[in-house]
Amino acid sequence: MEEEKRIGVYVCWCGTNIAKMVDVVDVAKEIGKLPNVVIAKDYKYMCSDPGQEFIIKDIKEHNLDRIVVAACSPRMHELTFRKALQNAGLNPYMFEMANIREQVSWVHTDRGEATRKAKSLVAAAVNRIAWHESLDKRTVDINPATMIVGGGIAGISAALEIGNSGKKVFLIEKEYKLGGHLAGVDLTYPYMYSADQILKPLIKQIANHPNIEVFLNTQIDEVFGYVGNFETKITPAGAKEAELKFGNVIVATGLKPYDPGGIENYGYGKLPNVITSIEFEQMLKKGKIVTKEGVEPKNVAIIHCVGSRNKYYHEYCSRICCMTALKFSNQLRSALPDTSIFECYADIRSFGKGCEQFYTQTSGKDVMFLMFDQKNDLPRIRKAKPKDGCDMLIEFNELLSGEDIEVPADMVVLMVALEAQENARDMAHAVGVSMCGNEFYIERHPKLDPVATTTDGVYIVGGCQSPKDIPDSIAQARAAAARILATINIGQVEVEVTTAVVNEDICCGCQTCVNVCPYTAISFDKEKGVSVVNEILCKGCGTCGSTCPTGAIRSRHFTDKQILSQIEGLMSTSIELQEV
Amino acid sequence: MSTRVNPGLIKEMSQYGMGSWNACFHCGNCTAVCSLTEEGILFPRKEIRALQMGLKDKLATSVEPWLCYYCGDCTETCPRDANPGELMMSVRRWLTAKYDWTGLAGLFYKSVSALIIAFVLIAIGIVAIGFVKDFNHEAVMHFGHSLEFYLILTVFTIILVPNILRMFYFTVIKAKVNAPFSSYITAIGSLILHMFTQIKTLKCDKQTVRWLEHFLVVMGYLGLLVITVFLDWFGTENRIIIYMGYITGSLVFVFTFLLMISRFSKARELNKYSQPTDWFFIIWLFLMGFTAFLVRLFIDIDLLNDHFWIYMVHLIIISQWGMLLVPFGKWTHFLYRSFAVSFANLKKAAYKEKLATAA
Repeated sequence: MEEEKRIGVYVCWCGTNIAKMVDVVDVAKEIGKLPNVVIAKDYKYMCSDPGQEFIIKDIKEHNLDRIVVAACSPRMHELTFRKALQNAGLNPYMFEMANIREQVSWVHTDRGEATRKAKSLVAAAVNRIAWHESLDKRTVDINPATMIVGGGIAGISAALEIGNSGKKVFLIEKEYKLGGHLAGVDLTYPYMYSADQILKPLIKQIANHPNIEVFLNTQIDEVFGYVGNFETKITPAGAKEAELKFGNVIVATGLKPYDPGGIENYGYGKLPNVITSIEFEQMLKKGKIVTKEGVEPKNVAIIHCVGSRNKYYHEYCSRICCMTALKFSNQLRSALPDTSIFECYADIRSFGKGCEQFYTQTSGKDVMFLMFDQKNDLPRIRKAKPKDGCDMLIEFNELLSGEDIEVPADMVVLMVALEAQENARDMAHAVGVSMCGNEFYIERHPKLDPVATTTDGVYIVGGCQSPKDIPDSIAQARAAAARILATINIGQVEVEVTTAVVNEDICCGCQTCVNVCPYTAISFDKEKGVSVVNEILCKGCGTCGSTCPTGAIRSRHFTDKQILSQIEGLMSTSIELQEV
Repeated sequence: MSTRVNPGLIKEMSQYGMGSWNACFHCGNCTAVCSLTEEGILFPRKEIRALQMGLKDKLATSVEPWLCYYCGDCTETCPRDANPGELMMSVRRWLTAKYDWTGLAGLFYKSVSALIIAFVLIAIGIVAIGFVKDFNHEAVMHFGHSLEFYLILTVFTIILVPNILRMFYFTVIKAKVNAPFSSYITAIGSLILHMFTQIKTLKCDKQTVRWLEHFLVVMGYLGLLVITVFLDWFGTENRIIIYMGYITGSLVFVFTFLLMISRFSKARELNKYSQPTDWFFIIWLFLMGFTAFLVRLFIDIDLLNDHFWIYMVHLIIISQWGMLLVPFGKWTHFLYRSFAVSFANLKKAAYKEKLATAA
């Protein structure tokens, strides 16, 4: 380190989030002793306005040229602090964040150890930042076209919103027709509108829409590029390959019903009159509720939470099944006035506009509600004997009465859970979104940014994010459309500059990087005999940089020097890090 | 052994009273606010559940409905307007029908026309007897007096005693209450106390006035019964008995009149949902006291000879009362409620013993 570096370090308490497990005062004190560190302070909330002001003031007063903030994940606040640096006149890349919340205080229970780990992480950041270079911002033009993957109600709504505003939409649907699951629905809760009356006019609008190009029987393999400039190749069935270019992506790939065959108690697949809610919905749509024997059932039992809210299947609530089950009871009562209806439930969840009223209304329609223990004692369905006077008997301990009961049934409707699509993982890779444990896609922020993802320009709407009803799916779709139209309106977007760059003087033309690049972003310039990086396709993953034998190709902001000194800092003995 | 659920019970129950019992989602507020429910004897939520699920046996063997004195707190505070108070009332009517071995109680609860036909038939029968006896005052009044006597004896032995035994069978034997023998002895004491005082009502909030009204009606009614049937009010010359008769008779009609007013004005929760049988019961009680009063008054001011019809009306009223309303109607709550307190005591004793053995 020949030239003098003036580093400022700020250790955040995050209220008590960090401070209760990490001795932040001590961290600041120890780090302050490191070379080049001009100033090291701790503060209650670095991300707050006063916290940022604090940094800006210090930069000016102490002539700081690099800033390290030890706080939460960079995912959370890196941009916040980069902006602060910019406001103080520094290049935003002269910033490094040490994550001492998610990686330290939230995951450790020993305060001493946690404090030591925090110190070494901050020391690593201080070491690394010494080698940071100023990088220039890059703005790119936004391609005003949008690709929407999935032609269910969410995809359709988003397509119309964007299409109607005069912007181009590519609507990709894997099936032979638009409509998704809603196309299979008869009436919708709680107001009993017909699904066809909701859906069909929208599909018709799309079909005749000058701005919306629909690709049926089409799947997406891989999307290249970044916000403003994405591209993909599609091969619609029976048509030739086409290349699409677009500035934003909406993922509206939806979800699929759970297969209840795995739950032994319910005998699905063995007992012919045990059917899923999807199959029952089809019956309603055809207008004929009959058993496999072709007769009207005298007793219909509806079992809730099939595959939902159970640690052996899916732990989450599938959200729409309770209300759908109540809707079934309503429709059954109208169609078969003398049939006994039993709702076997774990908890009735009737939140949402009009839903509690719908529940109350249904409970007045001669429907018997029976509560079972979803955790320890699922109902058991068995074939009845002739003397029982019904096809099947469902047995369980009813929780509100404490009685062991049997429920007669000629038809059992299983309210199956909703789960992520089979190819959810492939799709996530293709567009670059993350998944939570149950393979639903993760939004950028669960409360503040519910439709964006951590990949700029990629939005998730509807069931692919989590089970959702129609109004919520449409609300998300239109929210994403609004977000996209806003970026199109601005016309340009700032992009990360952390892509790979080739030093043509050192490049030997071995083409190792061309072969390893997972995004086919590197090509070989035969004339010059060197590798060339396509910055639109490059995602800055660093694979090329780590394989280059000569060090000619490197990732900006992730240079060898930076990473090695970070490791050095981590292993440093300049502060007492390990006692072993 | 699993019990089969039965969606039909709630329909059956709606013939005995009205309420939107399916609306109940079992928050348990009703049981929490009830001043009478206690450990081991929980109501009314459990009864609502048994009804919703159609657990007929469970409901028929429960003594709890009789322990509710219908203060209305549960109904007033029910977040679902499921009307638990009226449920308990309806179950009491239903149980009255269940206990009655003749099945007539159920018939009269379910069919007002059957009840009216029976009323008319009895009236015709009494008039016919009067006709046979040539409306000879002495003969008719002598017949009337014996009728009262034999009616009480018959109704008691043929209807009420068997029905009480059936109640015991349902609520103690079938419900498998294994109470220690000593608790039977103490249960008899509580039976007498509660039969004549209905003292438990006072445990409910703000029910003192209602209890007093009811108590005075009961005292008036029992007094009048003894004075007319056993002390021969209409035939006696004893001044004390005559005055006692006036007092008890007026107690009955004055306070039943007050009860009629509150039932009509629906001021209290328990008066909001009157069934025809409730009206018959209270009106006939009023008429009985009032006509008895008039008959004795007519004797004392020497009007009866010219206005013998008043005795005929009185005789018709007490015949209808004694033949229909006492054995098959609401009158039985006098017995069922007091026996229920005793049976509940057995249940509590059994519960305590069970807890003790478990410990």
